[in-house]
Amino acid sequence: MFSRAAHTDQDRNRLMVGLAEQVLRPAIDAAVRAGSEMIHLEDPWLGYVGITREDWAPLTDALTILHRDLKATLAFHVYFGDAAPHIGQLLQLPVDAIGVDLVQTDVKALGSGWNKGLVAGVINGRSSILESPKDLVDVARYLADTVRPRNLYLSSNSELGYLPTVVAEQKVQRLGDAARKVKELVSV
Amino acid sequence: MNEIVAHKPLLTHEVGSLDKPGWRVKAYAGKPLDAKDLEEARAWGERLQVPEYERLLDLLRHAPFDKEQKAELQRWSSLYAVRLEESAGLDVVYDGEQQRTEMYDWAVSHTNGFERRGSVRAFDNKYYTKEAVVGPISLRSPFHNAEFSYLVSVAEAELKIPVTGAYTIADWSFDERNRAPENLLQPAAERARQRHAARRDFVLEVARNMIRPNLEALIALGARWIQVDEPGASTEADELDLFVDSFNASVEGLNAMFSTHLCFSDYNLFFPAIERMEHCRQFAVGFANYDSRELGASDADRPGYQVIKKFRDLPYKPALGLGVLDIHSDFIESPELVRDRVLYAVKVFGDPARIHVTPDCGLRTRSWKVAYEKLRNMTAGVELARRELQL
Repeated sequence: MFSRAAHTDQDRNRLMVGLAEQVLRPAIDAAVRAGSEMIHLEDPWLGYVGITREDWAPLTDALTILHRDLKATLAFHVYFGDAAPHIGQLLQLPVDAIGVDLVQTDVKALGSGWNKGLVAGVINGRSSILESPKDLVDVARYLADTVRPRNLYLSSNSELGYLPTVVAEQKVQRLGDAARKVKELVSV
Repeated sequence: MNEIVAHKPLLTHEVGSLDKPGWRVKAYAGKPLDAKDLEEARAWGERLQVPEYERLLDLLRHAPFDKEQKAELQRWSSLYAVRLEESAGLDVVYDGEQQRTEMYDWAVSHTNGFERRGSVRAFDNKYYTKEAVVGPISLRSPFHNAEFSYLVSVAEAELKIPVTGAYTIADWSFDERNRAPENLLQPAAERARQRHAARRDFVLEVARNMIRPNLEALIALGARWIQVDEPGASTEADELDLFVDSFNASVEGLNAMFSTHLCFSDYNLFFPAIERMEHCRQFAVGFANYDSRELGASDADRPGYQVIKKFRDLPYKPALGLGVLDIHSDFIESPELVRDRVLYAVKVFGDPARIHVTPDCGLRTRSWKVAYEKLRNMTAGVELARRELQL
């Protein structure tokens, strides 16, 4: 994301790998030392703008730097766009989980039998309308039963900075309620 | 039929906002004023030769202020801002939104159908109070009439009134008319189709029921040039047609000159959508923010202005409000730099009558001292260009 949005005339793929090595990895290591168990990389650029075929390899290199010997779960979250065209390549990336914006992406495009975790963006971070707890549970069950990721994480589809705090709090509350309900159902 | 107001070549004007003086902000908020505030009011009153400014000083010494006194203070602030722009030599002036809270809040707080939701980030560490539309939109009462009537009574130069546009109002609001959340198990394509239809309905309702009646009221009071501000226009690249439709729905058939202000975007995005915007007689667009500060009027010297060729080629031949002042910096553009930016634009357009000269955007991000110096140099630079072009 940073390498694409940066104001630069330099090679953006070299910048991406350099940022991974010199900025993100030290920051991630510090976060893990401080107790973080999950590192959630946000990448709206890929969802909104897309990615060229030749950029997948350097993206893989950058993520390899971040994932190598990491003692935490590493997730790469694509949002503000349809992840469906990229699912095949996303599942090849060296990360533990892939995040998908399900407001923009069809659940059926996710396929099934994932070899990674799924960060399911089920809360709309751009809308003030509160999600239905029942719908959230239904979606989570569908994902668990059909996509069958190694781990299922329920999340907002994007960051929540575009919502007033009071609305964001209500949405997170519903997300937590839905997660508890799904766990109950799964444990039965 | 929209009116085309005849203007001289290289017309100069502001774009919208100006900072609000400390005495105006504090007095309106009920905060105590100090000697510095009074000195600011005195110094600018004297510098701008505001008639009877001593009456303002006397009023400011008598806090706290009741509702009518606060309104009077807002009018003083308007008068000061108009005089600042006239003193800087602008051909067309406005009061920099001195009587409005700001461009979004002022509009929605005078309109039925909206409810306040809370603060959200606009950019960086800037926040605004976002509202949701929850029911039918209608104008509570025309919300720029009092401002316009006052400005007509005090402005010596020609007036232009900015009005926040329909697309921006909708884009900066939540849409809660239909409170049903999306069912994510439904096909994404169908959900997207429904979202786009609701969005179109929302934006056009704002245009027809909020913006247009407000424009009609201003025209009835004598407004001849209305600038439709659309800083949100390029937020969604796939909605540029909707932005154009909303502009057309707002102004079509009204008898005034309409322009629009676009800022801080990749302006290439607007083409070809704005080819259908034939009711827009001028696009005021910020370019200085992207440009070099070196002198020269060649293509290579003016990297921030390359896209103006696309505005030149619009089939209905609108004027271009050429942004020549970077409003994000205290850097004071020299008259020579302004001149060269103008000369470059005239060379590209081949017609100085189609070039108007403006700041990139509203100057509220700058102090009055910096804004005044920038505007004075802008008008001085235009004079240099006029001389060079023998206009």
